[in-house]
Amino acid sequence: MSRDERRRRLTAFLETIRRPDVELDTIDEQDGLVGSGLIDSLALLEIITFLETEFGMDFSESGVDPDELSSIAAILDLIERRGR
Amino acid sequence: MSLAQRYASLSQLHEDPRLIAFAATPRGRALTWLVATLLLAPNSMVFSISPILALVLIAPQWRTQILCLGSIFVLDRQLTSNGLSGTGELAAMYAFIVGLLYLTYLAARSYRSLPHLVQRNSQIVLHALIGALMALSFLLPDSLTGEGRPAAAAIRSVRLLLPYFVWRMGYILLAGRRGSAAGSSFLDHLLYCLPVYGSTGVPYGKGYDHLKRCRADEPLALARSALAGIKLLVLVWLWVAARDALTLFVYGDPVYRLGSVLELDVFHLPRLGEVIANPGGVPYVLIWVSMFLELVDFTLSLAGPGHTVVGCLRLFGFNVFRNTYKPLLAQSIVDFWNRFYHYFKELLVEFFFFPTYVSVFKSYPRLRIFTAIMAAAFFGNLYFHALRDTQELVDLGLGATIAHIGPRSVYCFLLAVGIFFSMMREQQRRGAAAVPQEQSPLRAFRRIAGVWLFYAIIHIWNARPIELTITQRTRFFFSLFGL
Repeated sequence: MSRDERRRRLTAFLETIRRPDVELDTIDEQDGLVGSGLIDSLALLEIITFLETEFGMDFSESGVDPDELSSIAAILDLIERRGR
Repeated sequence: MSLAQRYASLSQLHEDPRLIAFAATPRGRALTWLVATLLLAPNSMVFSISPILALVLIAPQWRTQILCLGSIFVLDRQLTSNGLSGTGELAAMYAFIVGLLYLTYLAARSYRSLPHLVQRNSQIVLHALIGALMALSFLLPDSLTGEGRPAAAAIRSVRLLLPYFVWRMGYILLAGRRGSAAGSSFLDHLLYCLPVYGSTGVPYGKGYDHLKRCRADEPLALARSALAGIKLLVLVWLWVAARDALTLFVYGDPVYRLGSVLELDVFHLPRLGEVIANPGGVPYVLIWVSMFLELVDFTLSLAGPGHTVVGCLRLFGFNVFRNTYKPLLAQSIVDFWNRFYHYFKELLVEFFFFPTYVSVFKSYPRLRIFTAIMAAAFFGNLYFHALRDTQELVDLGLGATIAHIGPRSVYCFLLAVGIFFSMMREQQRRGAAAVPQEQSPLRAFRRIAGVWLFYAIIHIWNARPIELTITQRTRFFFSLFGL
């Protein structure tokens, strides 16, 4: 799967968990998801679940590093490194 | 300029480009040092912070080494405040503590070469080892642990200091697990294990990874961070003054400042503990006032010291998040928890919540979240306090320990349940399909009032003195509703 395709799936998912008053296209790939107000810190849990189900990632082995989930670019890098 | 604009520009002084540019100049740095020293003057920390800050402002590139120089004073203060003074005893304890931290660092640096089982469960292994050392220190006979014995210093330090260091050692291991410890030096970890910027058993600013991410290196970023630190130290004065006013004018208790005692016998609102002990003697309205003001007082008691620590961290160029950030304006239970004692919450999330969340009930989302919250806000919260107060609990004896832990268990359980329902509610408000809620002042007020009510009520099982039994507290709770 290409990075573009992964990005498309990720942003489609973020649409379902973003704050209703912040549009996804207002933030850059490098912007902090929580810092920009797109999602709240609790939504990180839903991102973890998404990565587990969509990309077969297992965090029980590596643990969760919130930094790796901090932006779209960071999440895409994480999927590239550890995704199925 | 309107009043609101004036307030906004004043409260965001640290974002003013001209001020930042000035603070980055030699004169600006000298002024930053002077203002910080004056603001910290009433605090005994000023004697260690002021010279260290001067050195950091002169040579920020040597920040880590300078802060570690301050760590020596921190360790010395910790050991001597525990009543230890003999040269041999102190030397043994220096060696023991620094040796233990160094071993943890070595384990983190070579994390991938640790046995697989240890890698997967490094925090559990750490706590098992620390628990074993603690247990050993209590089981040894007096003939070994008595004054003047060669092993006495190390054994006693186990009991007194390990609950403080164990979470910091946990952060070292987290850096190992994440792979960042491999490129770090021991000093990078020593600076937060023995923090010259002050701290409690909770590591403010967390560990290596977080501090590295928040570290300002460019002159302008460093100046901005220092200005943000100054702003927090100013807020400390405001919150201390507010708490003094509450103590003097509302509770009618004396306030001790700068060697003087201030006393005003104007009004005497009973503290929540007194109300719980004797609810019949207080008018109904004052009971509720006492409950809400206890929440305000508790928040102020946390905000002052927390701002001092975070303010100092920012002055040293680590632009970290505040420990307490307007929790009384939070509009949900979970948001309050996030803002009230941020670094304690972070500790519980990193060491209890995430490990549980990624390990259990993956096919049952709600049960998964509930279990993870219980692991953090209930079990983790209780465990942290029990570990911290081990010596006190052993001194109290089994019966008193159970009586002490009982009310706290209720508090932690109710907290966890409240957070779970609040999280579920927040989840429903997300997504493109969700309707943005109108933020009318009345709606905001109602939500804030609800959060106050929840925390004021659960605080019944957390209020001091600890001698109040679970029965007294529960009976008081029911009496609020005429039951």
